[in-house]
Amino acid sequence: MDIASLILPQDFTTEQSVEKLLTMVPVRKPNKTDFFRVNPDEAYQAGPIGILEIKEEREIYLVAPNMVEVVSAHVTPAILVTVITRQNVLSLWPLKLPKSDGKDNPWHQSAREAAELAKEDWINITANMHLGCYDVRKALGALPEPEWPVQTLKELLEIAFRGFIIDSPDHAVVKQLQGLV
Amino acid sequence: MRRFQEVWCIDFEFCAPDGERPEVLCLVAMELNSRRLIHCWRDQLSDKPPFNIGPYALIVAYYSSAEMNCFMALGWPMPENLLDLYAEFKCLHNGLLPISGYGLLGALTSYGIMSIAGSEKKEMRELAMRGGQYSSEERSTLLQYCETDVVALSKLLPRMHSTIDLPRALLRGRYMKAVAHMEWNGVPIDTETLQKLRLYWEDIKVQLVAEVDSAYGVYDGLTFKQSRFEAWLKLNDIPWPCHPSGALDLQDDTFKEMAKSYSVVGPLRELRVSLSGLRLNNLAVGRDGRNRCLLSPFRSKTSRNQPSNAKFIFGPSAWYRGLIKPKEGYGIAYIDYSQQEFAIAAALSNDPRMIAAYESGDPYLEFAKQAGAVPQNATKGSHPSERELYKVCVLAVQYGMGAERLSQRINCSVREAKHMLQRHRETYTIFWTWSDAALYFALTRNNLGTTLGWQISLSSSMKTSDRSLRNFPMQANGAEILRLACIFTTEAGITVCAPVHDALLIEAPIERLDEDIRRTKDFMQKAGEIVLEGFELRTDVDVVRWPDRYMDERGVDMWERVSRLVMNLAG
Repeated sequence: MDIASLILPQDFTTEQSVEKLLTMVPVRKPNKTDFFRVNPDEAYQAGPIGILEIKEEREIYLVAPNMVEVVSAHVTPAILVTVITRQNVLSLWPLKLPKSDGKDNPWHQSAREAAELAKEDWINITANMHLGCYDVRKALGALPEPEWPVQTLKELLEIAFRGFIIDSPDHAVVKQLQGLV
Repeated sequence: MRRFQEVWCIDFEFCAPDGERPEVLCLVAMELNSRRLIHCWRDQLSDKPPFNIGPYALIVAYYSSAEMNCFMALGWPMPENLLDLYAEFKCLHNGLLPISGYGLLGALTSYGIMSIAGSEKKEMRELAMRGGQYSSEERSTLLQYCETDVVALSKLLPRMHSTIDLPRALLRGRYMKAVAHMEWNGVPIDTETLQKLRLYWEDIKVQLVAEVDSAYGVYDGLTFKQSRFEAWLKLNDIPWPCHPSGALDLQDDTFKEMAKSYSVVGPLRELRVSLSGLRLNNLAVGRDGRNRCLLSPFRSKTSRNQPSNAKFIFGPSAWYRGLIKPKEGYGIAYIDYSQQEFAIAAALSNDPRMIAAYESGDPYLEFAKQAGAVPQNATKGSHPSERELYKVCVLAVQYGMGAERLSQRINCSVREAKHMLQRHRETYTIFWTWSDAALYFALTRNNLGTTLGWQISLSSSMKTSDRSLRNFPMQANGAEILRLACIFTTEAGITVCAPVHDALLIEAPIERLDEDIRRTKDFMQKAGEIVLEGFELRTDVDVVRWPDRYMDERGVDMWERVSRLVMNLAG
């Protein structure tokens, strides 16, 4: 009896019994407890784009190009980068850019620098209130490379900003900012 | 099955008191194609079977290790092809809990086949077990009863036929032959010491409680007092698991688990196990001084053997194992797979980091390195506590332990325990992807199988936890590996005394012991390579030569304590 010929496969991953659906992509900076990587592929980076942040509601809106002028006082230019944490949580991180007057902010500057480092290494950022910028830490362990999702950036953007795109003067946020509601 | 010219359904009646080899009473066999029927009382049986056992014959039995033991008792060679309908019925219905169980009556009921009543079967088994001389009427009754089982088998086989995966079923049959060999051999016991222990056991118990309990104060006479134990836990600041009702969880598994975190609990656990029931008297030791009991193959859901804790020397009380002693001129060796479950997980998931950790020789320390918790040049000596922590984490994952239990185990906060478990997930992402896939495979198909076809089915009435399903490939493939190892070793003529979870206890004359150890290790490696498709499993060996005795390190203290008490009592 050739026992080896009786061996049945155990590679359940090829069986595709379920498919995990990506239904939520948060738009936020990484949490202070996360170690994360930024996708170095430019195809997973969007911008500069306009974002509008309503801090009280902790909401971030994507402002369509035709609406930037309409709400210009509230729009921040940013680059969106794709982030994945060690826990495999995917998010988009808006890295704020200097405004049109050229003034930069040490918080934004240190965030952009951290994002650049996170293209190569697992990084963690925490706010240093005394210094007025983020402290950046690099994981020293030989951690594995991240497994990036198969979705395109366009698909990620659609999931992330579903219901959060300001694309018309009739948008509730625009009316609120104009004091119309 | 067409390749077999003859298909013989067989059944023996025999008498086998606890610990003894069977004494054959009678045999009934039926050839399914010709319907030829053979009835033989023991005095009609010669030195070879009255039916064909060659390559073109298939022997069919239910729980065939018993039949194979009878073959050995009669000095018959084992049949070439053995099909055990118990193993097949258990495999097909594993996890489903058939209404009448996994015995022959249960299988018959499941397939709607009429059979004798359970009470009648019990009566007949009792008559057989009585032993001694049988009247001609009793002989006739036993032969008739034996025939009913053979007729039942002849009806069961066609009903199960289409669902039997014959090549793998024959491999399971081969294992049943190995089981018979191991049950036949048994484990050598120091009967002189056992006899003393039994003689003085009542006095020993009282003195044991007095000695051990002096450090705890939780006994009243021989009765364990929960309220006193609660007070002791409080005094010693030990967080003990509770039931949802708030009552302390006093199950032995909990004691066992807690003793790993709080070594002070260990002696109390050993004492409780020793006092529970009449374990020493239940230990099944034959007149030849061998511990022999049903190994109960395929009994657990993962198909591991599940012998009676009370009858088997490798039951729960570690100190009893000090009774294992090779006979004069012989040695024994306990050969076990090193970190078998970790290795199986690494090999089946093909996680390169996990494989590297196993191949490093110290997967726990390597895991700590891979997770960045210790420097790359750390050693067992330089970072013992970190290694221990990561070892516990690895074992926790293998047992499917949640953060709460792990926190109790390593005496840390639940948050820290969660973090530890998360590190495992982060370090071994490929393993976890595979483990998730195995779980989803089982949940979507209501079934999960091993490399050699053992399977578990899921049903709504019989819940199987996610934790058990995730662990199934490691445990059940581990069982496949050990089964192959048992087959290879017993067929090669090595005296295997018992399989013990992921280990084999072998015995040989001292001058041949080293050679048999080498051969056994080779067979165990070969078994691993077959199941894990080339992956090399390591083995460790613990050798004992007469006049030394075997000793499980967890039971040394209690063994020494009991030995001292026996010496005092015996004067």
